[in-house]
Amino acid sequence: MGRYRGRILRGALLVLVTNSLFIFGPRVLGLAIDDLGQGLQNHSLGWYIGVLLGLAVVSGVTRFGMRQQLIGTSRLVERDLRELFFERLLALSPRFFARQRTGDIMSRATQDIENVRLASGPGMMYSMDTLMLGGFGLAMMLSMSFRLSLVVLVMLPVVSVIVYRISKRIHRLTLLSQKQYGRISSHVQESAAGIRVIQAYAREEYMAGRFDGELEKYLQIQMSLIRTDAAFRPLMGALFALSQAILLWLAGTDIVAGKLQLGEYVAFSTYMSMLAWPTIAIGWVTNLLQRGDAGMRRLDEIIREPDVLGEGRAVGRQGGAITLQDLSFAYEDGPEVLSHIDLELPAGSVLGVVGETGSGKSTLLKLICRELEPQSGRVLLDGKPLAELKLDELRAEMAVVPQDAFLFSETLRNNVRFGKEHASEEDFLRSSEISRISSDIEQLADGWESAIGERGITLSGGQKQRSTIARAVLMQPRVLILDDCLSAVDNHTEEEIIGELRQYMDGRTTLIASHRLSALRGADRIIVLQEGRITESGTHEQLLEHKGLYADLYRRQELEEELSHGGDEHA
Amino acid sequence: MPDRRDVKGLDWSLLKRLTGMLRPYGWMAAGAFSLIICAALFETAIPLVTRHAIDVDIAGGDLEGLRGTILVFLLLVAGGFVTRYFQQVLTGFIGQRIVVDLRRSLYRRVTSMQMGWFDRTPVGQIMTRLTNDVENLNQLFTGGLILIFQDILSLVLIVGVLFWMDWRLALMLLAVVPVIMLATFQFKKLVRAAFRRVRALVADVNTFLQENITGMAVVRLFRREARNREIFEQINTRLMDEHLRTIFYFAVFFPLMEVLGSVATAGVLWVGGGRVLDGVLTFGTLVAFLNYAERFFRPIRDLAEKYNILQNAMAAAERVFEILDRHPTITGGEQLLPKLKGEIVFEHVHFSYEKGIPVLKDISFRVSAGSSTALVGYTGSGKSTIASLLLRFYEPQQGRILLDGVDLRDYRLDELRRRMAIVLQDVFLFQGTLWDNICLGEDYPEERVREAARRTGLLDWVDGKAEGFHTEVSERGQSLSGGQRQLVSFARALAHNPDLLLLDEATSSVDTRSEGLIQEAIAELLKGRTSVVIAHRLSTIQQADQILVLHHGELVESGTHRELMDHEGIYHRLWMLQSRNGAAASNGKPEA
Repeated sequence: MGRYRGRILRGALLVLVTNSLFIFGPRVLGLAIDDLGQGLQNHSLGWYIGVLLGLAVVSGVTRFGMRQQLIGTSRLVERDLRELFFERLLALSPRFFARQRTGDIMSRATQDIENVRLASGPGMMYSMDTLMLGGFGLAMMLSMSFRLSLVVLVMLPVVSVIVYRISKRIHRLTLLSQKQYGRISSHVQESAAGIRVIQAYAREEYMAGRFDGELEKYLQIQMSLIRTDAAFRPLMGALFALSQAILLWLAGTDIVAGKLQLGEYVAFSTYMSMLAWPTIAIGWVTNLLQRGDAGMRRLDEIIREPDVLGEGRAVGRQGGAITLQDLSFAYEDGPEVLSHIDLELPAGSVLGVVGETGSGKSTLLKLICRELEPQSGRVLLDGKPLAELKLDELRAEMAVVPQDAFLFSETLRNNVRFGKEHASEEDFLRSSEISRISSDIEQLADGWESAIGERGITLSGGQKQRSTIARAVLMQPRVLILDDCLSAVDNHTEEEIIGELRQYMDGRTTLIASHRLSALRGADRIIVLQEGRITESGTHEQLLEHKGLYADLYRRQELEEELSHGGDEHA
Repeated sequence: MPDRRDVKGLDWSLLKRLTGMLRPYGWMAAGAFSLIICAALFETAIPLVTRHAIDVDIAGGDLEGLRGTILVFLLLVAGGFVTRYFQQVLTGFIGQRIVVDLRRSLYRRVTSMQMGWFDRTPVGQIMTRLTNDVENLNQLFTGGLILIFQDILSLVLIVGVLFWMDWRLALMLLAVVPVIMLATFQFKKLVRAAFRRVRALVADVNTFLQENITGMAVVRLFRREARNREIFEQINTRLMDEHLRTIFYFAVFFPLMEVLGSVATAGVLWVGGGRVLDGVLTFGTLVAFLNYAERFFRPIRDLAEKYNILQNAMAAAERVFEILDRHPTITGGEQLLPKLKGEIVFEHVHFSYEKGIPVLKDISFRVSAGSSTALVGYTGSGKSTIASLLLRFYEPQQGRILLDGVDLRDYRLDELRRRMAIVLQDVFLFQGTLWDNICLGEDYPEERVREAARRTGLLDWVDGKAEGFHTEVSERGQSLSGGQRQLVSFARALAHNPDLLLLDEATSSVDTRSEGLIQEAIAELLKGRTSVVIAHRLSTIQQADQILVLHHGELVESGTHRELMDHEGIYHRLWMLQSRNGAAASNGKPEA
């Protein structure tokens, strides 16, 4: 915020000027009325009107400037905060993301930043405005009549406290109501997604009954909100009217007694209604500032989060030999997922990783590309521990196709070029050829420029996976890691892709994990993981001979594929 | 939601239908309207009382009279407060009740729709109808219609009083109105367009952020940190620029309104001041005028806002009514169903989801009561469709399906479905506890649920949990493994003790331990009841009383295992493959 000190100072100055001009309006009006009563002895009517209009126009202009400066600053602050937030996220370690739910990070990025913004912009502006207008107004009133000012002095704090309390209550109820609204919408979402189960078990009435319950709860919350809100404004109005009535009584007696001019009363009454807003604003602004403070503290938790990604300094491109030494890993508080893995993988060789769900395949691959860090043991690339390598260098050497084919809401072209924005068209086409995505592209109306995601097209599971393979291949890495990334691709295409990749992978170290064992047949070596340990190791033929888990799985798959996919041959 | 559809002109027939929704709350609505009238009268009268105090009481030095006048003033204020409060609570209540009514009937309509409708209607769209659209409609009742009435009423009253007091001054004041209206409409137009751009950009920023958080690993692996930061900076700055533009609009508009207000005051002072000097206007009237001038501009500014609300609500109403006007095409008959024997007969059934692409072609078969039938065939052969037709998720285009000799269409829909249970390939778990997910709201005794869990091999695991059956299933069941989810859905089916069981075996792989459990659970499920199983496991097939082999929507083979083996068709081929593998991997595992 310090960088905007200039803007804020200018803003504060403008608030000062605005209010000091604004404050003379009612006084001039009052003087005009009194002068009228005496047949305009002091100035002409035109003079008064000219002054009134002049004041109005000049303070209008400065008010414009003050909004521009102060509210504008809050948007600058918002942008900076969001950028800082994102920058910090990029630096944090994977452990952090495993710990923190996405929804929670997002709520900080949206709700909390908004709260800080509201406090630093409107909050700051209205508190300056309120203080100055309140101060000037009171000074003016006191200068006219102390007795009458007492009304205001008593009323001001009462109203502020009420506003503070009520707006706090409204805020709390609004949050409750938002939460309940969320429950309603997730009930609808669930009902639509699970409609088959609901209808099959004839549970429509039961679900509707539960829905009614949620609606009823929402109604209750909304009604308390409505009641509070309904009381709020009329109550404010009534309190101000009450003070006007008291003023009228006091002023009336004073005028009758000749101690006060009618114009002064009018000016006073105008000041009183002018102060109405700042009085309400104090309570409101206090809440804004409190929420902003809480938001900033929540943001700080992320901005100052110490669990950042570390890296070494070593550089240099080499062959791509991988060594695992006594590698063990457990997720936070969980049981050991990998225990004491030793493995030697020469540069340029192909390793197949087999194992059932939960056996530790993905974890192993994530350790090798340093998406995770081991609790004990180490991973070496060309003899150097990963932790000693510069991250950028490490990542330039490796390309990973993760299990869930994650694509961004971008054009297809940009998604494939994600790791290498300036790849030549030739390389680009080659990689999409290898991954067999190019033929699908021709069927899309916008071809490579088709947008993906919410506001674009939805790709099939297979298309997504093939796009992510293209993305990795385009990187031309020394080490390629495929983490069960062909599960949604049909058999025939899978075989084609594997064939293409085999040529392409020549000379590159490749690690493939797959549920479908047919994909691994040509690997130089296949390891079988069971409960975090390597239980079998060898070539396809050796493992079949061995008649262990691998042979078992392989036979079963052949059969199941025949059962569920073999029909294509008959068609 | 495309923005253009959000805005609509006024449609009177739609408005009529909407106001028709007020009917059940006719008395309350009438009450609210009378309260509005009272409140407006009270509030408009207050400056007149001030005028009386200045012109009569103070000018005449009558303190006694002043006291009386102030009392009237206070009564009016109190009256205004009370009527305002009750009016707002009442209108709020009516609006909320209508929202509840609407959501209830929408929800019931949606859940009774046939499956074909769900195939065409995305979940997100259904959610928008029930949440946002209904909320927009609520705006119409609580914020729209009533407030428009209120604004117009106070405008009419104020203008009336102004003309009654002094028509020249009134005209003077009214002269500013066109300028204010013009400025307001122009402002709203600019701001609406700017807000639309802001919304789109906010969505961009949030999508980007969300994706970068969920896809952080990909961002890192592909070394995109610097570039993505750059991209983020760009959209972030674009958003800020758009915000700054709206700030500019606001910064012009609000001070402009204040200046216009001062112009009006100055105008009143100018004309009125002259008339006071001439002695034709009292001070009190002048003060009252100044007072009214303040109250006069707000309703004008608000009306522009209200018109907007009205437009949005109209568009929402249209979408909501579109659903309410649609009736489910699959409804039940009258026939009750005390207990099902479970004899199923398909007679020349033809079915297609889309015109011209037949899924089932002339299917006829019979399942005798108490027997088990396995459906075998390749993906897309129409196996799952048979189960869907039995549940009447869809209606066959030709032919009929008989259950215990009665056409399916003649049964009451809920009774029919209650006698069957289906286990789907993709297990769907609802938010709630394991208990909720097994019972689905039925009031089963604990023993029955425990028994179902025991027989499906779930009980040990459940009892091992600290909260047992009351363990919460998190977001769409993500806290359970694939195998556990399967077992929960089996227990669900078993607890309902159906006369007819439809089972779509899951193909996705689970770990070996669960695999064994699942096999046992399936055997337990099928025991002693009519069952139709879409089979992916040979063990299930072998034990079936009847095997139906489907191929491209046609029933190509049917019979017992023995008969089909003799036939030497598709089934035979599958079986030969199995025995060969059985020999190769004969580690005492007969099922594969």
